[in-house]
Amino acid sequence: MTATRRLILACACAATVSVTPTSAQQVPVFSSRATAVLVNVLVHERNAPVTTLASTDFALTDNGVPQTLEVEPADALPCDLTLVLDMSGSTLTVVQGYKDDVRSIAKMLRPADRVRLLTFDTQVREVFPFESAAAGLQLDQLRAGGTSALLDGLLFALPRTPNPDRQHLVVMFTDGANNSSLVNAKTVADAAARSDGLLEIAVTSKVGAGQSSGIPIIYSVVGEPQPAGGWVPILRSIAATTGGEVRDADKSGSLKKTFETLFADIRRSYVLRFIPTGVAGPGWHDLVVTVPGHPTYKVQARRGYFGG
Amino acid sequence: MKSAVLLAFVLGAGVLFAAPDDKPQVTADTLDAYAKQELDVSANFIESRPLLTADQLDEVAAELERVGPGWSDHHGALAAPKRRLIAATFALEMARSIVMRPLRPPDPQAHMPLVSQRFLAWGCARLRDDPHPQEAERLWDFAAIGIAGAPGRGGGQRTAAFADSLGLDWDVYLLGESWPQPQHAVTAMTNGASGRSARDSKSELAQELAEGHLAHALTRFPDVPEFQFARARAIMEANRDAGIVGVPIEEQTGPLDRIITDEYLARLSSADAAAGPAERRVVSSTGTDHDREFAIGTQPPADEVLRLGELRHARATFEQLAVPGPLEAYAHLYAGIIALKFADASGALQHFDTLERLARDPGLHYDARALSGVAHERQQEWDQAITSYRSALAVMPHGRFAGTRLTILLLRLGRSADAETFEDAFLSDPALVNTTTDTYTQVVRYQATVNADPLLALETRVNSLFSDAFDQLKKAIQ
Repeated sequence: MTATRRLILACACAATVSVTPTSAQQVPVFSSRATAVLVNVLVHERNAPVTTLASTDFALTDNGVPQTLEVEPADALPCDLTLVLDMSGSTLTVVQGYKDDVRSIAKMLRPADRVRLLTFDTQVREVFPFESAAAGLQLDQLRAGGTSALLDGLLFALPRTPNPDRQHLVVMFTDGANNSSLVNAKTVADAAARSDGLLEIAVTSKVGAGQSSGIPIIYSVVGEPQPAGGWVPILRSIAATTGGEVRDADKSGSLKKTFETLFADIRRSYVLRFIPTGVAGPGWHDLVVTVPGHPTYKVQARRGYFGG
Repeated sequence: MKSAVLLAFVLGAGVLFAAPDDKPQVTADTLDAYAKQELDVSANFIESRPLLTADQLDEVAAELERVGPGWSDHHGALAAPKRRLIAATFALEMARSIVMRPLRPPDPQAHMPLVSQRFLAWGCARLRDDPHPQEAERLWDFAAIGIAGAPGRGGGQRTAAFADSLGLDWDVYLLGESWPQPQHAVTAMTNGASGRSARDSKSELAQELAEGHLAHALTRFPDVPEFQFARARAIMEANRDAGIVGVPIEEQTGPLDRIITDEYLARLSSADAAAGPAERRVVSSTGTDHDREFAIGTQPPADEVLRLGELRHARATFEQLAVPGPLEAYAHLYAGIIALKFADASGALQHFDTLERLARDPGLHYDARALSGVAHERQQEWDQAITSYRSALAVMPHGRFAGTRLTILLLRLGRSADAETFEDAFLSDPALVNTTTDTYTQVVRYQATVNADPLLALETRVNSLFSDAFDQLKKAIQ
């Protein structure tokens, strides 16, 4: 595996964190970037983001071996945002609202950021590839109908050309229904472990958490059966693999409001960088991030990466 | 247990052929009309009554069981065999119409598939009243298999939904013995319905479910290759989750297995539960079939041995049937798929190569190439696998099976840039069909032709081999 492939980016987007005073428009130049592993870390104390930590506050082990870290605020790098929308039949009544929300979300990004839009129903589609957030977004193709290939949508959202100068944030909006995916959760979990993206999933109850708003779309025609507890626990585990989580969407059903809250949270995160030392390169690496001086803090980071 | 399914049906309205008390009934007049070549009468009966519940349809079946024998014998012994065939064919079409009903929201009438099978069971029993099998009976059995297996997973899943409600294990109707307590199923159905069903009809349905329709067909026509093929296919379907590591075929392949099994899950299994990676929680969080998928090799050994034995039998049947004829290509394909299940990648590739030469249907070319990709992954021949997936996509540009497999393979190989490039082309083609699928048939057709899931597509296409029997059967009753 090449050095570039060893670069694992855990994403975050624009942020204002007090660790290193980096302008949102400045792109830091890391030394040995090609061999570095980046880990996005969100730290909370009683559900409130902690934004005052310094480099020396963090500890990270790679397969149990302590590593030397550099810590940056998450807004140090521009963001590649992949939006993934559930456009199955249950969303028929909210298509126009989704279009407006996507445009609003794009306006929250900086000029240096990029956004792409994937949708899934029975099929997965790329409405537009990564492009400048400032560009006029073509949303005419956005339409609803069909079943929910949620896991397929996740699979296709995760790959991205490795770019050490940019971070990859994947945000999915879904009602949690998955009934026509060809891939299974194990495959997606594997893809998540190999992805450089930070996966955040917002579960919308507005359209019914697997129920429908009058549209008869609850049947599984292919793929694995729905787990007894529904798909959300599975999604939560997959998101956690990347350092992300599953959140409840805004009760209004507005993607914009949900994203606003989610994005603000991520903007207060940190990016840890290290060059693996004292560990074998190939295979899966367990990562453990802690804030030793504050054991009560909740630390959220990717659980590992595949080395080459 | 395989996929449990919630099926949904679109409600409609309209009632034809209503009896004076508005209770839909099959009467002697209905059968007379069918005998007079008003062959749409059965389909119209169902289609014009989309609001009929399973209970009501069960009553219709019961009425046919009461009226049918007398109607068949009404013109004397000489005419009886043909009239039995007509009545049985009417029942067959009722069963088909029920299976093909539009979908509607999750239905408490989850035993609807058993209503369909009740019609089939009755028709089958009537034909077996004749000690000497006739050609028309063979056609009838062909068509019945088309119905029983045709909705493919739909039939199975509908059956599964019912079986789930009873806490039964399930497999496919064709194999009969997969119903461990058929009488339980039948009793539950008829208790939930009118309760007026005759004891004999219950027995016929129970017998049909217990023995499987194919057992009847093969007893009457032991040398018909299509029935042998159907049995092997049903065995395969009943053992979908069997294989060397007890996981679906999609996950028995490629670098994932080796990496996940040897490095990843192995580590997870020994990791501290509290601090372990997220995937450990995936494994432990569901408590359902999902666990089995993650927890490799959790099938009870004895059960797994039985399942593998059945699969070996099915593979042997397919290989015997892989001789020049209409089934040859399909036999190679299924034999190759089972070979993959047994980790015989080179054997699978031989079948797929042969299929590639034999097939005229582009869909079969797609299948051969996509599944060759899987076989190459098994052999860690990554470049060949990628080439196979791309060649499959050359046949079906939006084949989702090949597309997803190629994506995950590229990602696992660390070729994220290639994966993204592929995705940009694969997912953004404006020609991508955007369907709003509101019936099961539409979903199956869509999945089969657009998404090109080989297994599902196959079911649809193989079933087409049997569907022609309907047309021939209708000629036979003229």
